[in-house]
Amino acid sequence: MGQSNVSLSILLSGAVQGVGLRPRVKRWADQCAIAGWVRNDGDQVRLHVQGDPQAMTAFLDLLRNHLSDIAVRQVPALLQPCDGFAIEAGVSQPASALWQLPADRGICEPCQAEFHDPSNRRYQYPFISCNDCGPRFSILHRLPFSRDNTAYGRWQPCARCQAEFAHPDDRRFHSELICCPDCGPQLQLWNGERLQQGGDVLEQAVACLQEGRILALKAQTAVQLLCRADDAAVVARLRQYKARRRKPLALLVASLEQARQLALLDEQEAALLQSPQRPIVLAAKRTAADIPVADNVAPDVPDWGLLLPVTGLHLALLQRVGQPLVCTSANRSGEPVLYDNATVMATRGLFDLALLHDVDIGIPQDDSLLMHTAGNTMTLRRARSYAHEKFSVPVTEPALALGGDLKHSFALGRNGCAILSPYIGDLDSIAVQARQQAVLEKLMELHAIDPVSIRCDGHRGYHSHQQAHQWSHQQTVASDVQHHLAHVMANHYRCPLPDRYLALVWDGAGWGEDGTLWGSEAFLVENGLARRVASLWPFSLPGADQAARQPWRMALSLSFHSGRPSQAALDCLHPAVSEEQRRVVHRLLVANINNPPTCSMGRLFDAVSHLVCGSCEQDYEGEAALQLQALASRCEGASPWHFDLQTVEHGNLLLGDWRPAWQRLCEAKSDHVSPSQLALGFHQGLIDWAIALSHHLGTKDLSISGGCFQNRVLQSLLAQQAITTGIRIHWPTTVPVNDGGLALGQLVVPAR
Amino acid sequence: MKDEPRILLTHGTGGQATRDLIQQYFLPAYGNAQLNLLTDGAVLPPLHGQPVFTTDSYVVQPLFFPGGDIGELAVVGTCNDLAMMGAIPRWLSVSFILEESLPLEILDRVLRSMRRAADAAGISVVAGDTKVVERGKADQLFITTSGIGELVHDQPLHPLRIQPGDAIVVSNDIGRHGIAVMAQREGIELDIDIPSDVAPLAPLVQALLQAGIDVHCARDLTRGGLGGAVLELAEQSGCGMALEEAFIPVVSPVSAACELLGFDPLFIANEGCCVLFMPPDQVASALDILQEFSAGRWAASIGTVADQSGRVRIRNRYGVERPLSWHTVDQLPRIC
Repeated sequence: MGQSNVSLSILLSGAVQGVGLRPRVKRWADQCAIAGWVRNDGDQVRLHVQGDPQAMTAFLDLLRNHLSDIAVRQVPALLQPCDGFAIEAGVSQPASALWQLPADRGICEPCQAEFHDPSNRRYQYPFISCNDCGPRFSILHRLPFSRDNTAYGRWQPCARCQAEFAHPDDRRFHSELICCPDCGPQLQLWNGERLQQGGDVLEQAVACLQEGRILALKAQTAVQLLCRADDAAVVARLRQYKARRRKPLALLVASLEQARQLALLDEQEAALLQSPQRPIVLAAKRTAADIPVADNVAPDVPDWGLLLPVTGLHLALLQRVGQPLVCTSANRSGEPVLYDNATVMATRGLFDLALLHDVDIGIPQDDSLLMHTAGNTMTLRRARSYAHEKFSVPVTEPALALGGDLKHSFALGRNGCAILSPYIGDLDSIAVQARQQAVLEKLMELHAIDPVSIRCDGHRGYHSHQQAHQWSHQQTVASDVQHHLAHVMANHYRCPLPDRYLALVWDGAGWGEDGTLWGSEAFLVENGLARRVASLWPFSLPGADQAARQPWRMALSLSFHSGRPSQAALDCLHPAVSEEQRRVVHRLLVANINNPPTCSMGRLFDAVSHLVCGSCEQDYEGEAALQLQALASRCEGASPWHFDLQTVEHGNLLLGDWRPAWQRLCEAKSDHVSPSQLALGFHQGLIDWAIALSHHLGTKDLSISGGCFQNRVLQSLLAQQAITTGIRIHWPTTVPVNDGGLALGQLVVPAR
Repeated sequence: MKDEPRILLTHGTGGQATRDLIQQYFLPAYGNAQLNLLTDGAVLPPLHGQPVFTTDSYVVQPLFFPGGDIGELAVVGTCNDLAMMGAIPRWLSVSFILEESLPLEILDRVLRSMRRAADAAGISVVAGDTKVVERGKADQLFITTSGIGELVHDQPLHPLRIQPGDAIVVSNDIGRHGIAVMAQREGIELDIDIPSDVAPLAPLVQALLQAGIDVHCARDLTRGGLGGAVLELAEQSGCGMALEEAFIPVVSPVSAACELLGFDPLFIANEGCCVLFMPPDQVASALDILQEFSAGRWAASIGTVADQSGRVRIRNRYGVERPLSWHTVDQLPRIC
């Protein structure tokens, strides 16, 4: 090489792990006749390159044009002249911030084509993957992402795979997880007594499904339970096994076409379904009579949860079964999802047959759940394919936030970055608590982080609260963050928000600073500081947690607190509520026994749902609200009836007084206004109140969060009102709108 | 119409009125040779076994509730504390704080009930005291009893004798007393009346010990209920306990009432029920013995001492295990 050569040192940072970056860089270097080397340094990729100025310009253009998610920084360097371009072994260096971890990805189109091509040597191979798809984060032992540092380290690639790995023109050039039927992972079948490896295991699994039995399937990041969706008897058995009576179950469908036969998909929903992340996407049910799905798969809800194949194994099963399958996480209600073979084989009474394999999942993750309404995508459960992502947030010292107990997820942060753990579950059971501990240790180790401060929710009955305070010692300080403030802050650094805005947090319950349960909060946020300015007029929870399970208690509570005469309050309850239930719960209200005060928006939904839909007992959180939403969405046009909340000043707070509206709702019910109009009118009234609060406080920007906003009707009405009033709505997108996002908010609340 | 006789401040001055009260109410109710002497203290005969001494105060409202009253409770409760040590209750002292204006008829009913309970427990009241306070300074009447019992077996029952492997046995169904008292106090009308379970436990424990059951520890399930007692014992013994929810006896009116009121029967108070720790191979015979008593009809083995973690866990009907902690005792609502 001549004297005119230039030498550069280049750092690539951002989404550089597990995306086949180094092979691509080598391909471009060879193409431009650039010499040097590329090396994976963990959270960044380092290049030393030399070549003539023209070649270098061409090479840099290639980098910049093709690496949209990656930052390219270059500094001049003096290098020893060298020949050719090499991929050097990776080294792992301690991170100053947090690692950008590689993403688990659903099977890509070229791999699907190979999977279906009988002439391809990976035809029908369940573990087919490439530089663009396959597992990453879930099987990573340590950084950098190289085969030896993953669960695939135990398989030695065969000669043909090695040749592909080494060939710059091959799709799998330097594909770390390269494998084929000759050398890669194998399927195994567990029938409750014996583990069978290879042979006709796939055929047996297919027969199990076709015969109307339940198959446990070890999928990419956790074990799933599958069964025929058209067979009500097997779905009922699955529900019994899981101890879930009515909670909607997702459907695994073979293709977008199949998805469209079941649901009305808009373009964004279709794009989400097909995205490499392959989340479960909520989509409006079609009402055709010939839909091959039993009524008990997702009873009384307007949407299906749909999922396209994530791996070759899904493709293989769906192709053979030829119809949609119910697909749900393999765990009983209250337990963490299964993910390792030993635990699957020790589990009784959850499935009939288990199709396993010998890839060890390191970080178990449920399927993620997303929805798209009113031009915005919301994350309801953030796990597979998303949980590796890094957020930019203003944290400096190493910190841990333990979120809340329900839909638990924790967050780790340092030097301007944070990660939010995958969805873990409710921290009620010992098994879920142990799962959280294991994932926490794993992620702390991966990111080499030792927190000096710990944040948690203020609810002292939360396991996560106790965990934080037990952890606390001289070097590590635990501090509480108010539940709804954490919700606000989870949004605050994720959206481009102005200096002054109104933040609404509507959810079921969170511990308030006055020792009562809040849940309908409005905060005025000015220059990053949030002040609680409004909530609902308080009411109470007769029977405490029982009131959250039984919406009729809330209807009685609202009647009582709105001052309706006792008999009228009792008469508006559904006939299914017994005399004794009415009498005793009324007594709890009158004598104020086990009757904690609250201003929960979720419970207001429950009360209205009881009155309008007759919801008496909830099988899962939000069921009553979902029934009300479904009814509201059947209302043609706007409702002539409104649930008018009146804003009254009470000290420093604005209270949304629901009492006159509740009285009128009880009367409207007896005046035979249609239930769907009542349901929609309730949603309209809430949005009117939100807008009225904005006007009252003179804010033009509105940030929303809390579980109540998972409601499509509420979202659409808000979006419509935003257009007519000129108020800008700041929707949560990547951070879960429900308690799954709390931890990130806790992490970024300024220390007091 | 003549006013009903009531307690007056003069009943507490130590004068004639006090003497009349004692002579007309206390001595007829539970007088005996020792008490009738009205000396400053009781001189008691020596015991063969080691003496066990305890004290407790009773302030329950309402004074009378389905299945019992404050008087019965004041005798049975203190005897049960002695019984939990493995002792036979022998002697009792009774101290009253009476509120001015308490109808004497109520005092009389309470005293008669104490007499019946003392007779049933085979215990003598050998010392007593009465004070009267102004109206509003007490709530009708408070009773403090102290008791002396006698150990007739080698080793007292003690939390430190609990060891991994022990079976955990509950002597009867749980939750009745707390629900009975609360329903009466708060005017909660349940479809099925639930009477308190108040009952002496010494006969049950003594029957076990006499049959050679090596009871390591026993505790009555009063305030805090079964959950509170097991948590306390886990802490004191350093042992971890594993309970099976499905095995814990709760009669259906109690479970229905708890469901309605939003309480967990595990934390509801009892007055005739205890938890016992013993070697697992003796459980079958122990249950046979307990179930002979009406206060042991629903006796059941409900779990095991699992390890030395000092923690308590409980498995529900679906096999899901949850930790039990003092925070669960508070029962703060948390569902979203």
